[in-house]
Amino acid sequence: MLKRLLTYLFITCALLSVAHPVRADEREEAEYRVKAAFIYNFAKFVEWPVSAFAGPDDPLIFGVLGDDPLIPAFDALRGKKAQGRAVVVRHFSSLDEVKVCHILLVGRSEQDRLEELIAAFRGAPILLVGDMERFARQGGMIGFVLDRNKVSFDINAEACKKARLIVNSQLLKLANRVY
Amino acid sequence: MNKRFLKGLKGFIYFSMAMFIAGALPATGRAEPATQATPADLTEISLEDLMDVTVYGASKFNQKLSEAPSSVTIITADDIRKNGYRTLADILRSVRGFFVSYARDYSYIGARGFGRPGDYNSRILLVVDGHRTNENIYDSALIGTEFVLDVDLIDRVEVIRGPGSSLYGSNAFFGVINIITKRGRDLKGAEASGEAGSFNTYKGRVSYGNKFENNTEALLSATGYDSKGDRLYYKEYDSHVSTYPADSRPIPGGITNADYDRYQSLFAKLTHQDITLEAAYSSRSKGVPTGAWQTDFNEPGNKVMDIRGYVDMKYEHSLSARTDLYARLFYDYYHFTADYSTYALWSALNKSLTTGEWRGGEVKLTTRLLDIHRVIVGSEYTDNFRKDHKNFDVDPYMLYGGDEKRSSGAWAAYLQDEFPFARNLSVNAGVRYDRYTTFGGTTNPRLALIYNPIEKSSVKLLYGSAFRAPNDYEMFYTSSTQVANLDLKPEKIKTYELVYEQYIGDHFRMSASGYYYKITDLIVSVETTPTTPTTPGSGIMISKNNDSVTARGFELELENKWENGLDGRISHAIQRTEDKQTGETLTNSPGHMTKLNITAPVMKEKVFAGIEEQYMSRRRTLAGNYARSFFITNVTLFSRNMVERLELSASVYNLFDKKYGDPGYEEPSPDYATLDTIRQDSRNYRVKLTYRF
Repeated sequence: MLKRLLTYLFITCALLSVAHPVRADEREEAEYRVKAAFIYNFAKFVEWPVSAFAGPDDPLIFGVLGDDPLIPAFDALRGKKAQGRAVVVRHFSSLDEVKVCHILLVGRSEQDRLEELIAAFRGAPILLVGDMERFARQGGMIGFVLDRNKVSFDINAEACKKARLIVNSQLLKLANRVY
Repeated sequence: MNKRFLKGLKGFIYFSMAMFIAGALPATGRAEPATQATPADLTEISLEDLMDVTVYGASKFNQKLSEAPSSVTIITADDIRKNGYRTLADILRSVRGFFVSYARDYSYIGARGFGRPGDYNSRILLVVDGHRTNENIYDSALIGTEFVLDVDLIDRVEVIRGPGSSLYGSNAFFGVINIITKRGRDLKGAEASGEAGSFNTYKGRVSYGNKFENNTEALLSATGYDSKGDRLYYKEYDSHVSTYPADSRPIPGGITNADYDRYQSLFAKLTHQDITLEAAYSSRSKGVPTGAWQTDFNEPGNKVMDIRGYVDMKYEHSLSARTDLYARLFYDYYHFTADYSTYALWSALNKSLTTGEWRGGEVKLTTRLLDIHRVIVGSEYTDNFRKDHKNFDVDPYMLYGGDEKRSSGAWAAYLQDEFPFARNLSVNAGVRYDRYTTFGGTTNPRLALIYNPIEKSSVKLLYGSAFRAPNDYEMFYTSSTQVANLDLKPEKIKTYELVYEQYIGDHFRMSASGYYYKITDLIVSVETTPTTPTTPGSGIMISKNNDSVTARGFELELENKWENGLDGRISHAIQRTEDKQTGETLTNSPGHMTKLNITAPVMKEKVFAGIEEQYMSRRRTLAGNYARSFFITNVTLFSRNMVERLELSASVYNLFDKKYGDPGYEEPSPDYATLDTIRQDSRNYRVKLTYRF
């Protein structure tokens, strides 16, 4: 009996010893790159009110508030084109700094004061995106969810409507959950 | 022909082993970065395609498990496919510390060394999508082919060890098995599946599932199963010469062909916004080939039939950013018919008819209080409005078990609070009060301290009390050989457990757990005191809260998930049970169990080999003998997308054709043949094809 057990343990240890795991941050990076690509795609499915831009050549401003592990991947969106506009990425460290912006990634560092934050943006035509639990349910607009190792998202259609953002029905269809 | 077949089989085994080695070894040598599969510029691909990219969170393991106030094992749909599991019983056999005894009528769960022969599955609570499935007569969880759900529809099985009565009430004695079914979106269209196996076994399933606009999702499925069963040989019947004068049973040579098994099942789930409506139905007929209960041996007319169905409506709604409401209404149906052909002994066909119906509701609020308290408060009500039972001889009609019709009810309220107590230390405390119309009230608390000394380590100290309400059969059933006992109290268990979980890197997990439990007021069937002192026994049985049992156990599990898809899990469980009356180890209580599961990619993302090894030490039988220890191997080769949309699998169960048996549930008798151990399946095969349209 004991012999058998030892044999098992030996096999397991042998199997473990040949494993060369990929570094964790490398894989997380992949996840964040996918999420950043999602955000870039959201821009194609949302229509902002005309007043959100000063002119047809105005850039599409992607803002980040606070700190978030998504930032490096998000920064890489800089210089791309969406809706015929150039993408500009801006970093904000506090609520007061956020002035003109079309898509705002609410950093995980802001999790604890989410309610206050969402209230402050009420009515402003800014698409609020967050990579944290229950973000869309709490009044944010698009929140990422991981569904069986695949990235998906929840949309708060109500909140988008109040912000005068027109969300393409295709996006609503793809969403994991619509509030 | 047979020889050639065996040769072919050997070839198959060698081939698969070679495939396994060739496929697995180089793959483990060079793990590929997960980023490789994704194109350099992700912004170039569409949203639909992005949603199909597999990413991993910080860990391949569900981190929530280390926060759970118990030791939890999760078996996923992928595990089910890759290991060729056919029933929930197959799934549970692979779970650390769990074992299943199959008496060729029903499958009986054993956990933590406890699996007394003759007991129903009433000390484990089986929940499907939040719906309690233990029926209301024997309180049993049906886990074999009689399980209400086709295992193909399972998304995952969560096995939550330890007492769960503080949240779930009765039956959550040794643990809760929580089954989550697939969602419509997991099917994305129609699916047809067919399988064929040894002993003339065939199964077919058609399903449709999808997600539509407006948060609407649907899943529909129908399954049919038919198995002729193995030709079994029981030496007990071969040599048995009855000493009972009336026993004129011919000696049939110990061979029986009455092991057939058939079922049909239906499942439907519809979600719209916050409401989910779910319905399940299954009907199974199983031949009883063992000649149990003095029935005619090798008589196909001997059978048990179970019909199980339910309708469940759930409403889940966020009341505010912090508070979620969960409400449920349900209706359940259970019908059991047994045809006991006892012509040889008693010249009659004996029938048992049992019907149970119940309905009820549950309301639960989950909220966050003072920022740090995660509080669950809930209440539940069950109305057992139908509990009919009858046992009789058909011709000439003779009633044994009174033509009884009963009803009962129970309500409960529970509260759970989870909060950080200090840095790295969180507390999970819960209590539930249950009130039954039959025996009164019972209160069951649970306390868990979860300590995370460093990241990826967790130490859990757990205490909990749980109960099992006496079932209808134990409390009320009266027949010519049994009397009711209205004074029965619930069985109680107190469990102390220490769990240590350690994650190393993102791939390796270790879990060690030691526990002690004490069961009091255990319900046993005893002979009533004889009315006249001269008779040795009255022959009349009564259920009493007579026994107490203690047990200690230790479990160790190691699990590794490699980047390339190779998964390995090995566990060992040691348990020592003691009957406090006799000081002996319980019957059907293995001292040791070892389990090993390896799933190896043979061809990247396309072909996998699943290898399963199970060892169980000897178990004492009711006759005081031992069911021998055994070591069995199951192998499955699974492939998907070799042909687009097609899944194919081939399995060999009990590969080395080990002859082993589980302890039987009949007390030995000088008058009738009984099976002390019940032989399990010899080597057998299954092939399965699933096509998505």
